Amino acid sequence: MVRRVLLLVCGGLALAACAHILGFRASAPQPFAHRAHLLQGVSCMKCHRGIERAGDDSSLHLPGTTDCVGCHVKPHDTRECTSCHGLPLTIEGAVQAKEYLRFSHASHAPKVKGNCVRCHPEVAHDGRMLRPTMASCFGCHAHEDQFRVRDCQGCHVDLPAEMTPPQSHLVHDGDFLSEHGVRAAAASDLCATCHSQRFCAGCHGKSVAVLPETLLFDQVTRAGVHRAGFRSRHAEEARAQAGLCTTCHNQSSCQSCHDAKGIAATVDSSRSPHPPGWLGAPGQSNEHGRAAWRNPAECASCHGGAGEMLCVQCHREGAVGGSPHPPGWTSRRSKVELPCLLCHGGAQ
Amino acid sequence: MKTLLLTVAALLVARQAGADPLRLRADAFASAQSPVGLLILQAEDSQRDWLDAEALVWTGVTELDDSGTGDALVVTLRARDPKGRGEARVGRFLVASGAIMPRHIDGVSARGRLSSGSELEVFGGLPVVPRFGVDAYSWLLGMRISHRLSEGAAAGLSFVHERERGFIADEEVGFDVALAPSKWLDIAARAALDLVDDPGISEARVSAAARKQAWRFEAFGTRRSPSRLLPATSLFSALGDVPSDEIGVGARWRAAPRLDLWSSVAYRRVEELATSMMDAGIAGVNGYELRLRSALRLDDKGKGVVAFEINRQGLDAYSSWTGLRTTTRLPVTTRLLLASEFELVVPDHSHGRGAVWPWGLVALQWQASSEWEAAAAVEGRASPESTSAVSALLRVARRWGAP
Repeated sequence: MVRRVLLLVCGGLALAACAHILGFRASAPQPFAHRAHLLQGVSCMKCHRGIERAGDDSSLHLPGTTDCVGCHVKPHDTRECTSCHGLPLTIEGAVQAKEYLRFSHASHAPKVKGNCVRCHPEVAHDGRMLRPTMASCFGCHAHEDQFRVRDCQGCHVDLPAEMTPPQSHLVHDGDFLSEHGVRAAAASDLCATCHSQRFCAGCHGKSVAVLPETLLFDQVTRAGVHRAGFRSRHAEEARAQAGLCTTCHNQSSCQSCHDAKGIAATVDSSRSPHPPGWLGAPGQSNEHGRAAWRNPAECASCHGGAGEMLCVQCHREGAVGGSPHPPGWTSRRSKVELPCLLCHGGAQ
Repeated sequence: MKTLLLTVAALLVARQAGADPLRLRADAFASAQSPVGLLILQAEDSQRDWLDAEALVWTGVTELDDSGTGDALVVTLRARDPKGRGEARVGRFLVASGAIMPRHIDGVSARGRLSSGSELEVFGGLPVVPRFGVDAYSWLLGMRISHRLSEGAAAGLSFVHERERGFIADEEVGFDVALAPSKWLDIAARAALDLVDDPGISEARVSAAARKQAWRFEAFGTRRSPSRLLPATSLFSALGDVPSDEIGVGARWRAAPRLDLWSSVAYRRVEELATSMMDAGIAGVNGYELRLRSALRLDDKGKGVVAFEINRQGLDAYSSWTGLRTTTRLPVTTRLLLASEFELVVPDHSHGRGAVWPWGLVALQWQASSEWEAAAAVEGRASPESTSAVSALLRVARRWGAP
């Protein structure tokens, strides 16, 4: 019996600890009960005193304990009301909006006739983030034209420094790293309102000094293609997704490293990356043909440029290796152009 | 020499950078193998907000031969019409326009917008040759025309023609479309067609993402033709079209206020020749990828995080592996952060390269002030390359102007 009770107590404690860790906490600061105040008919301006006259450069007008005790004459606690009522996250959002947005409550309050909920609908649901969405702004303002031409500076002071992830367009959620290419295709100018050239060139540039995930090694939760022990598994990743590497890397990216480390067939080394049976006379085991068809970019990463002559030796017109072209191959290139002339022009 | 001159020029500009509106960030990154210095400069004119400049220059020592090297990744000047009717850029920059692959060029680009919702972008220049190299008679020209079909829909058509040493290296036409039929649904697709050899798809991707409260779903599909992604001047581009396909779905669920769960599964098919090149038959290898990930935020702002990930990739004996990865980020004080990352990869077939490839990193980050930041780490691994290796990493960053 005692054992059961102990188990029950331990289980309950474990459950409570889990709930606490996961964020289900009754004692934790809760979003401010805006809804209850609204239903009681408390005007927003009663607590946020002076907000209706606040310009772009005035203070935040966040209420403090002195505002609360005007009505709640017998506070149940001696601490500051905001230490439990209201989330630090909500206040930080307001601070960030103040810093990075050009906005005047003074010019908006008369137009909405003091109905703050029109722009801040989340207060009716006791929301965590009360900053209006861009869609709310667009509900009244004809900013669509500015949005279309990416003229964001009318409202946003400094988007690249603001680093607020978009909430209503191009939402950076899920595996956005793999999605970003297709999303950016039709909206590269929209991406450029926040991301500068160096952000893109950091991965897609021709001579990247150090990859962002290597440079920012301490930001371990940052998404990246080459995270953690990628170097160990890069061959496996490249083979499973033929062509993926080529979308960023040029064909000689791998060669310099493989040559220097002696892991290449092009250097006099026993550490060739190719398995037995890789190269053989016609009719014998000849794996290299299959591999080249499957992912020619992988071959080109080491055997590109001058290394192509290795292939030309056997595959030139009339040579023992035969034609590497697939059946029905056509091309608009002339045989005196590269790379055709290597095999067809007697240039070997 | 050019690198040295650029670095000195950037440093001279940096002396002025304390005054608004110039911004400068300098990063010094050192690993046991290859120290690198990065200088990032961003300048905006507060009097002429239609003009801005940006530069990213790096210099360092290569891991391979200990020689000094460097390059300018971005040096660009941009002017835009204050009313948003157009903009022009000149210098070294990356062009990512529509469905054609991003290109790093020394050149110009210009974009014009019409009130009807149409846009025209043209660009041209010399493809960047790393380390200030020069390729005579190498150039490219491209364009994209797009039209906004409705408030949530746009489509574009792009084209690029590239020459390498006078020979045709690439000619592609691309199509892209983006649709947002409702607040919770985004659809995007792009396809690029190679026009040089046997016109066909060089790369295509489609993605549809839907979000509803705590859930987000994505369905995606990709087709790539590796030989068509290579420049047409490469001998390997003559191997024809052997595509690689992928389709999959992914989901993200906010299971608790601080707990996010992700999963994705993809089916892959890589085409390959059946037996030998003399045969006409093409066979395929089927494979899959499975990813499960969880992230638990240790506070409301997510400054502290513990994440766990399982990866499984199955295709054939040369590309199948299983991986476990865990990451933690713990704020020790408001300015000091402890981070760690560990990964264990088990290949299905080691082929003499070791049965397990562990990798680990423990890092400390110190935010000394809004201007100074430093981070240090120790990284250890056992890989196909070496049975054990330990590296030390260090980064010091200084910012001038806004963050």
